[in-house]
Amino acid sequence: MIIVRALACALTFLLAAGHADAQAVAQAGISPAEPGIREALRLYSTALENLDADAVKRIQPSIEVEALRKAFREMKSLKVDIEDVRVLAADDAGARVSCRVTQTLTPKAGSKQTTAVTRVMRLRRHVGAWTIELFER
Amino acid sequence: MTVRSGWLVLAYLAAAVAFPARGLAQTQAPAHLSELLPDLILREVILPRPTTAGLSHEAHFSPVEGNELENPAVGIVRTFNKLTMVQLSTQPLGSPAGGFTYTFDESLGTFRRTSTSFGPSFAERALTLGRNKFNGGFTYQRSRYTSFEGRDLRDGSIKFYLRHSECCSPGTGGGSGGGGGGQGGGGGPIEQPNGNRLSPPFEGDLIEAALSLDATVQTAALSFSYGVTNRWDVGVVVPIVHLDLSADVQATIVRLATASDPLTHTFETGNPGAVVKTFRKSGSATGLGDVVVRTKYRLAGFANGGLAGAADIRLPTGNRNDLLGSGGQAKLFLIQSAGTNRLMEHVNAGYTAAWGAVPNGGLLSRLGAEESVPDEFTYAAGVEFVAESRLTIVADVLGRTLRRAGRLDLTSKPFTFQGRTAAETVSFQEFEPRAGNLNLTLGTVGIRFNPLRDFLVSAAVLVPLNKAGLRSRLTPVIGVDYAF
Repeated sequence: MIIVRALACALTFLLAAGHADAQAVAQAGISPAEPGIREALRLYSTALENLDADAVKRIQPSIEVEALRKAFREMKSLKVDIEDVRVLAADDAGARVSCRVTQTLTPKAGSKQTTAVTRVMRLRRHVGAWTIELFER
Repeated sequence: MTVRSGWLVLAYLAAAVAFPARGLAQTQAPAHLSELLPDLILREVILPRPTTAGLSHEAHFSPVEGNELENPAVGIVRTFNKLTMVQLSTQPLGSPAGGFTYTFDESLGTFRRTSTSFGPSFAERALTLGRNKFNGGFTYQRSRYTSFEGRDLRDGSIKFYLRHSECCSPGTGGGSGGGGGGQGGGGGPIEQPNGNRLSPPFEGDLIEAALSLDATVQTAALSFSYGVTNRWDVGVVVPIVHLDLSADVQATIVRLATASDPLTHTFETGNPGAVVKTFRKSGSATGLGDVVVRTKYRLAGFANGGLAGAADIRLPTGNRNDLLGSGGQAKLFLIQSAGTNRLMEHVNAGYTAAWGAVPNGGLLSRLGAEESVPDEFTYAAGVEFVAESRLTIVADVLGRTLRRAGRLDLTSKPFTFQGRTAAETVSFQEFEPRAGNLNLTLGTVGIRFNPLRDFLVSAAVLVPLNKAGLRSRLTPVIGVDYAF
């Protein structure tokens, strides 16, 4: 009986330790997919900053490119910062990521304005490269 | 000083420059501008008092002084005055600019400009400001009226015919005055009506009163609009109005019946050649006009437009006796707008219910009963062309149908007088009042330009497209808007 209890304790300890390890990995942002995801987000932010609708479409194929072109036509410049990137879930084919997107618009007409929103997006890996499938919010 | 308060100060300074302080309602007698024309035409045109005892013709062409209010000239002048008052006090005001609304479009992942156009100048579009957005504006417009019912207002071509008072009987007693006594037959005429203007013959004379009117209205208006929600705007327009009225009447004695006795009716006792005299009256008023409280709710939205319902309530804050306000109106209207990124159209249609009355104080109360300010059907249709991101060109047609406002038609009227041997008739062109709607159509063309940041500068001109009612050849409108 004592042996059984000792084994149970040991098993509980091992499971708890394993969970803590997983949390530590997540918190440290060391998902194996993360470098690729961060690169996709960097390309996305550069495409927005360059007001290049075609480049945005390469990273986010589902975007309405004409509507985006129309929006860019009213912009003089756009500064984009993507921070607090957190990989909420990831596997070989896809990932769910949260990040804080801050955009500062200098429009052709009107004054500069800034917005900061936390966005949650789904990404898909295709031929080794990550693309944005959709924004959940 | 904050940007907001600085903007307010700037706007009021502009108003102060536009309207140098003169105090409220500085007019020569009469006390109010609403009475100026009837006072001038129906009371002021009198002949000199005779220097000798006898019948005086002094007030025989003045229906007011002669207390002959059934004289046809009274109804004509009163209708002319009413139509003038209604139009001067209910001028259209400019619309605030929709401005620079950018929203974060989640589907695009970036900002999107709600509309590339800065909106129409005098009409409304269905787009709203957006929640917590604020727009402040200042507009100035100046209308100098130049014609009425197609007749030039300033060259004396609008003529009223002042009939001689039906005052006298041939009589047998007393002497004659003003040289007119010789025509009575059997003795000098006496002041007692006998039911016609043939006897005594001098009652057949007329005075032609040729009016030259200079009417200028300047309006400086501060406007504020606020987006309560993404669909609902509220706003207020505070106009300051300055009105100048200057009227000349060139009075000409038309001696139909007294050609052979020219001293009967003359502007200078003993001078038969004094048949013309100019009478002049002017006045001005400055003050708060009718404050307009506005609201607009977007019922449905689609690309570059939508459908909205709106209400403009004109509060009776302007002094209506000085034509600075109309006594209160409520306008309910529907707005539809749509279009592409470069070219947008908008249509407004509505009904304005007025609860004010046309001024009827002082002299006016003697001329007739109080009348309501007419209700109106209003419409506007136009386009906005986005020449480039900072420049919108706008054009509109604005229509107002003033219901049962009454009209004045120029007609040929017979005037009967006692000739040498028998009654004779001549005809003159004169206005004749009739019932009916007054349809006013205006066109406007203008630009809205964004020189820097959230400032918007607007310039437009209003031009009449028909000849009805009182018309200003060109009304320039300038404005500045700022979006917060």
